[in-house]
Amino acid sequence: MIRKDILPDIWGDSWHSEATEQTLTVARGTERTVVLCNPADAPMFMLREGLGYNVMPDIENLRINVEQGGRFTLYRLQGMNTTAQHITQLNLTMQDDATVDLCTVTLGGGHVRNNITVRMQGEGCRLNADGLYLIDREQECDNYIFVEHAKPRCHSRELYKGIMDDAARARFNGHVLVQDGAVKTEAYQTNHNILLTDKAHVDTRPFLEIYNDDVKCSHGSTVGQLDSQAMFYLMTRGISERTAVTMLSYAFCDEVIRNIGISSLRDAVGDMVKKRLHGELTPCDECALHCTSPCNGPEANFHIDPTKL
Amino acid sequence: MSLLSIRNLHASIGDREILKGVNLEINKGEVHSIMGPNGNGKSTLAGIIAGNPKYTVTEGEVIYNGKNILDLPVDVRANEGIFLGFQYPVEIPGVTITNFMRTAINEQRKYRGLDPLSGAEFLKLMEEKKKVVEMTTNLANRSVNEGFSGGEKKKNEIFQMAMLNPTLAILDETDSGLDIDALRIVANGVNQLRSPENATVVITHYQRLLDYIVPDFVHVLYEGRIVKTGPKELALELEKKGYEWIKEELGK
Repeated sequence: MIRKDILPDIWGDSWHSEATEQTLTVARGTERTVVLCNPADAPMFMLREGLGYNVMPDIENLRINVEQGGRFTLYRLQGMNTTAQHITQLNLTMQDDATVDLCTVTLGGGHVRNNITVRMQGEGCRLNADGLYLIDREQECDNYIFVEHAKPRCHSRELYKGIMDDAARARFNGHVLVQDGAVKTEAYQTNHNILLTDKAHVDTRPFLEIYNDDVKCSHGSTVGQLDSQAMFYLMTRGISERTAVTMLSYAFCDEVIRNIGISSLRDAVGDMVKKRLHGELTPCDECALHCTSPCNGPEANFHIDPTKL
Repeated sequence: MSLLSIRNLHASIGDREILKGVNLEINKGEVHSIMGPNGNGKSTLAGIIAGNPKYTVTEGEVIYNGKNILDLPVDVRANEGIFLGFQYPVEIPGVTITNFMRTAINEQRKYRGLDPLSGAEFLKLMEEKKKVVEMTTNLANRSVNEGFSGGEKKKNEIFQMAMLNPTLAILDETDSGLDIDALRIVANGVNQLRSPENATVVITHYQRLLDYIVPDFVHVLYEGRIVKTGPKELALELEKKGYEWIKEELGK
């Protein structure tokens, strides 16, 4: 159970705590932004000061209702060590014209599983669910997301991307259910993966279940490698293969990172992803990924090695 | 010694032979134009010099600065001073032009044993070189070629050429997709970069570009071979008589 006294003021009285479940109501027409981090001191994300938003320890079981016209944004940042088991459950309900933006970034953990259930109970709801996972060694990361479109004119978009190294294993399970009567639904599911080794593994299952006409839905997933045309283009300018791979790996992640709406958070996540992809490139001037805050050299020792591609 | 010497070059994509014995000599200070109908090997030749892994060289050699470069990786060729201006510049979302060019310049400097440029020096260089192609776009936060118009993409190629200052530049159909103003700007840029120390190969199938970039030699590449070489007037003759004339001359 999360202690009430460490909750920042932004939660106010709308928090209700019972056992390990936290519930939050985003009242009619209001906005809430929440940043959750595990580990809570967030050394991996450098979210110390000047962020402009309070950062909280991750909450494993969250139940959120967004009332009519409300807007809720959740950033969930995970960078645990290889022994950590971490399972999160997020249950969201959305009323008329509610907007929800979710972003889950996993840079490490023994076994991480993020379950998200979204029920769009009102009309005209909008959901953007993004995810990024960079894992290596024997780490596992699962993203399960279920979205129910129960009423007309709701829009959902899922974009999950990941890079797996060593014997890491990821799963993406996206289920969109369009109920009878949910006309003018738009639902898009996308999951792209890059595997760096033969032992790395991903199971991707985008899934649409539609009981209605007059909808626009699409799903797609890819498992592959970096764009060879882009590799060639970078190398014709004198950029080495290794550096080109690092740059394109970051570019692959950037599609998710650029959607982060808080600029300081976007920069911090961007820098951490860069460091995660860093390999052995350390001196900042030689590094392809000129960070906004200089890195500390050899200490930034992560294990994803894009040169294995 | 020639800057570039291509001898009996044969190359293919998969089973299809595209180049069937190309010979070409290029010296410093020269501008060469390679013309010819589509699908006869112009872009293949450019790709092979730059090192595109898509093509297989089956015979012959490409000697640049006295070295056979066919076994060198793409980036090493670039570091040796070879530049390819793409017919279809690749869009790379997520890589900013600034980052791209800074990385390229510093890798090339490292190869030549020079210290990396500082951020300030780099930005100064970039502002200076943008003027070569009258580029007004703020490049800092833009991804490489993403959302660029045809003209912007081609200007961006010449801008990169200006930044990297190559010894041998191969411009593959830099004029395609350009309106007349953009064509003039791009050609002007190329002309500003001409010097006695470098050479340029302009690949095109229209004479129009050669009104602005005046070549020393014009070559016609047809069915995988250079079948005719002449002075700049050859381009005008081709424009007038069309490629049918070449076919007739070859007795086909």
